[in-house]
Amino acid sequence: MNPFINDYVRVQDRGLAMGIQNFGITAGNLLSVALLYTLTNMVAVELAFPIMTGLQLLWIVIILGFRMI
Amino acid sequence: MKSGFSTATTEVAFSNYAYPKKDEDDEEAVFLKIRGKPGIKKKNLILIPLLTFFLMFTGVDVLQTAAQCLSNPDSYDLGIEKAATVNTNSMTDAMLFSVIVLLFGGMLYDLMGRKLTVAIFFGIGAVSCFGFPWGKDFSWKVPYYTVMKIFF
Repeated sequence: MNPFINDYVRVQDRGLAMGIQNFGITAGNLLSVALLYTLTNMVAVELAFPIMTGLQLLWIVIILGFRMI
Repeated sequence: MKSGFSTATTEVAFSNYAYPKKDEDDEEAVFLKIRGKPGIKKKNLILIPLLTFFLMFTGVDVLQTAAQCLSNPDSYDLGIEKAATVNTNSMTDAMLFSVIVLLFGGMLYDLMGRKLTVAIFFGIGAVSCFGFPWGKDFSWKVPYYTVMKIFF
């Protein structure tokens, strides 16, 4: 739940933007199961969770570092 | 008497007329046929699917691995049946709390701004995710797991 579509997209294109947003959900879900879970399943639990912590911190760096907001 | 012919000349703005040149910021950003509002750049539009992608890419993996570590003998070691029960109950509790977050989440964007809200949400996710495996030796490991899941 975020206000980015309302804030960034023209009114006429919001339907398409919502479709693209949902595509992000599906792609993330699919790649998470197919790629990331396969990788983290191979390592110990004590290592798997810090990897995911690192990834989430990386998302913050990417989003704020590239000034996407 | 006045003549019916006018000698006045009219200037018409042709295509080579010196219109003021637009700045780069005034140009419309387009990403996959999605047009941005004035002042919005392409990278702002890219963020719309990217944010949900990031959220699901790590979120789904955390939930799957967390569910798996409940029955893992090297981790919480609850046994298959109890692990399933704890997983279901913790998901129910997390869903209840997510109702509150959904209600006030939009308000937080208005109060704190977009940057800070996104950073805080991902930051809380990162911290709570880090804490999942360290509760395996606690006597109150099930409540610990539930709290971690609620925060995540």
